[in-house]
Amino acid sequence: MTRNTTRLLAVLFLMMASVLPWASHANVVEATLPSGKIATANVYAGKNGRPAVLIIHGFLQTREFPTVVSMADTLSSAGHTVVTPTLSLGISRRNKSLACEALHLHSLDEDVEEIAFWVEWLRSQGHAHIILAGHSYGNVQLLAYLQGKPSAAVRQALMVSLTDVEVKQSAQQRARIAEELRERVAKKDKKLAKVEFGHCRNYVSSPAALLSYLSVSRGSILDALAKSPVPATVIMGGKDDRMGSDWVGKLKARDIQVRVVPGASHFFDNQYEFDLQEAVSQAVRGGG
Amino acid sequence: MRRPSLRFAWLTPRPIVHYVLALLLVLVVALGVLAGLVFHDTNRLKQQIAQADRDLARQELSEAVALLTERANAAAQAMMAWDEARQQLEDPTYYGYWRTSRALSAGVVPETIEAVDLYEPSGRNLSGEAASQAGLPVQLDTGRLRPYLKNEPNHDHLYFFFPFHQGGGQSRLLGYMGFKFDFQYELARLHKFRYLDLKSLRVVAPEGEHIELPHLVSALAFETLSNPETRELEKILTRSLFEIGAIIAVISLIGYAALISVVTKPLRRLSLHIDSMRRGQGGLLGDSYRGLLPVSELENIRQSLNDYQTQLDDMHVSLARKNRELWTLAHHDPLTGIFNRRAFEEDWEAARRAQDGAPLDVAFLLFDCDHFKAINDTYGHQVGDMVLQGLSESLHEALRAGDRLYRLGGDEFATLLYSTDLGQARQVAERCLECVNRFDFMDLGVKEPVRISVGIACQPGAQADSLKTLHRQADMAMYYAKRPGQGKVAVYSPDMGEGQEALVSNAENSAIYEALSDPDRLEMHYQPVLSLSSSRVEYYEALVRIRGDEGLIMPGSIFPVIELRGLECEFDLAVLERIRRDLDASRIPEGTGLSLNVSGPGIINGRIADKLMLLAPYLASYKVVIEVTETALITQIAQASANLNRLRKAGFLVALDDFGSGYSSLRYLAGMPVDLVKFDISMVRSLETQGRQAVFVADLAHLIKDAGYQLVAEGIESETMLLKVTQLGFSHAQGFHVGRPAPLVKQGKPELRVAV
Repeated sequence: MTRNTTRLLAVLFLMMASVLPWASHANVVEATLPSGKIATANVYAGKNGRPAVLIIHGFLQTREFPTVVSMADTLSSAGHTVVTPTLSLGISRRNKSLACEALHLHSLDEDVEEIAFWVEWLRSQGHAHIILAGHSYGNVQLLAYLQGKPSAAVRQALMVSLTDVEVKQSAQQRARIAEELRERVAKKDKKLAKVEFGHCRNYVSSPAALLSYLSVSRGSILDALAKSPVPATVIMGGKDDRMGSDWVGKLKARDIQVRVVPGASHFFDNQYEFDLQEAVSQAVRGGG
Repeated sequence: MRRPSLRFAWLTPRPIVHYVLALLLVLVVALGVLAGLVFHDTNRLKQQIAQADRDLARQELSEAVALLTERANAAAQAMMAWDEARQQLEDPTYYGYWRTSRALSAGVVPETIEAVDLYEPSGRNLSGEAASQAGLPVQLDTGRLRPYLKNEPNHDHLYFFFPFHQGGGQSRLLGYMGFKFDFQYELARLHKFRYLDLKSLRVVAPEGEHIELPHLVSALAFETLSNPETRELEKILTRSLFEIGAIIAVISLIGYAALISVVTKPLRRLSLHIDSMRRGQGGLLGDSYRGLLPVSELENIRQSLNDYQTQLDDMHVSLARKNRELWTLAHHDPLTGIFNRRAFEEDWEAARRAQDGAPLDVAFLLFDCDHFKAINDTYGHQVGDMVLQGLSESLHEALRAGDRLYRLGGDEFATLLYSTDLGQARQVAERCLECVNRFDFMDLGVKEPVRISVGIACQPGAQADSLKTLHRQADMAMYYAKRPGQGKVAVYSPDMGEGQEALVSNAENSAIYEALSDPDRLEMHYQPVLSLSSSRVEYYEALVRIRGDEGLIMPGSIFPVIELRGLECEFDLAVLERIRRDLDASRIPEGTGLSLNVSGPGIINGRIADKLMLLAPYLASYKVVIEVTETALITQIAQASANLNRLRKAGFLVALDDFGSGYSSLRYLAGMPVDLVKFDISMVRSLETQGRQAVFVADLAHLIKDAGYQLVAEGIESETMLLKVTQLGFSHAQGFHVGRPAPLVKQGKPELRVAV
């Protein structure tokens, strides 16, 4: 399926969806992905002339994740068109977070394709100024998109609680697992792999799919940020130590704009939701 | 309108305790019947409850199956909303992993589901295996997705199949899904059964058969749990029944005891008391008869019985008094107050019984008032009664203490002296005479002396039938005592009463009776009566004899029989007929006459008078003198006087016979229609004495002669006597000296002994 065809289908689906005024009321749109899966997203219509924001949720989550919803509400309220898709992770109309023990047949490349799909969809909607925003591991997927051939309409990146999945694994361990997976892929061994991955003790996945995620490392993230084609802003919670206490320092060391919300966790819950909203609003208004 | 009453007439009277026991038995039977009915109703209720339990259990089962169906539907909805399930339908590459590791453990469908399977839209199992390891079918009949129960060896399983649509609606069919439930396990989790015994649940169908859901409940067999409410109800009913039974039993026993105490015992006491009353042993019943509690009706009965007993006692007392009075009246003479003939006979029998058949030494004393008839007629019955009272008083005074005086009738009194010899009896008799003589009858207005004659019969060893004999002997002795010249007290001796003994001679009796009907059997003996003025036999006294088989029967034997039988008139008629025949046969010398004796009853009898009148034609040739005794005249003097006057007018003469032997009242004599007075032989003999009696008789003869009567002296047995009476002015003399009685020969004359 060509990209043009994809766009066409997306347009057809969007015609089915009603677009309501810019008030923070989301409409669900469905789109058939090039893989044939059906993807869904909430679309918050904004004011004309304002940048559109595409927000990607965290690892195995959905667009209904509270941090994502909070960010979307803030930006929508500010008059931005906001699209919060739920990455299909290989499942049509996925609407629930995917369990660690579920079959993970999705790959990082497919995730990037879906991000590209929704960027194109925004462009098809007339948005020439698109801001990519992500939460947690969604930022890794955005960086993977930005490393590729991002749309020219993408002008800014906003990364909240930037993290990866190697926190509990050493580089050697990841390397060994990756090597085994490569061997299995080479052997066309499709037997499911069950490994400790990210926060999952038993992450069940096909070897190829799992191998795609193992290509990301903390260093590759810093490199990707440093080389980001668009201005990127990182917002971190003061108490978010998933990436280690030196993560903010490392980001800053690479001249990456970082804003730390003191006392906030990885999820900016409780009273820090407002700090997050303020930080996000400031970042979007500041344009980088 | 009379109400019909139920009476068990055939039932014999029974003690009340039987009825009480019968009532108790009826109560027990009624209780048994009641218990049976309660048991029956309880069983019926239990059956109804059991049926209701079965219905409820079936309803529970239906509800549980419905819940299970809902649970399966909910699981189907959850499955369709589950991303991973849709993932498998889109890419079943790792379906085996999902089915074994995710389908049941992800928490999307109930953990109790035994197996889950997904199917392609064609109905083929995603696993593509020939046989599903989970037991679910490999290929579905997509046109017939009906749940069913499969009867399996260990567990029955319920299978549900649903279409799998995109998004849960009917938008797009992705495939199918199937659930497998362990039927009983799922029911146990879904429903808490109150009525259904889940362990007993079983499928009534061949093994391996599929039972579709609509027919599932009806294909299940089960038992119901024992209903605790039913058990409790049964226990309550049973306990209540026993309690009621115990209460009824206690009440029955108390009622029985109360009935026994309050009614039965008092009734029994009353019944015994009535029995005692019936035996005459009843008294007044006290209130101790009653039981624990008084009963007014029984108390009324007791009071009524006591009143009745009191009245009965009063009646007994009254009756006893009346009996005594009656006995007194029955055994006493109302006039004199002494014992009567009934008492006399009963005393004799009592004495006989007391002797127990042993012979009695007894003396029978019979008292008779002389000339009582004359006293009675002269002074009236009231005086006569007072005379009898005086006699009884005198006699009673004379008897010994303990001796009883009886009035046997008229002027006849008697006493029985037990263990008494003849001498003592005679002494008692003499004492009686003295007492009577001492009694002043003048106070009663009786101027003539009142005397009694006593006959004594003393018979040692008297037997039961001796009373009549004694009485007859005493009677004979008494008559003997009455004879002129006797001592007023006579003891019976066999020789004194040959004539009287003739009473017992059947042969003589027969001769006497035959003479009554045949005057020719009479043999008249004529004794000459000498006229002292003419010294010739002026007439003959006709003296009757009867020719018996053993010789002549003399007057001494004839008249007692005649008098005893009351045949005086008949005998007089026979004698008159016999004399008439003698006259007619001219056996009596013409120019003489005859005197004939007429009895007392005969004098007043019209037939006798008429018969005498038949002799009137002979008066032309004969002097006919009618002799009557003083006693006969006195008895009914008026009638006698009338008849005698009539005869006197016809030419008959009347002579007063035996004057001086009895009452000999000159006042009577003056009023009597007599022509001649015949001095009794006792008076004539007294002329031979030197005492005042001779003077008295002589003066009496003068007196009577001067009064105009002709005097006839009887018993002239010597010339001296004949001279004496001639000197005294007697007109006629009669006696052996003049001539003995002798039969007449035709044309013959009686022999005269005296030379006139």
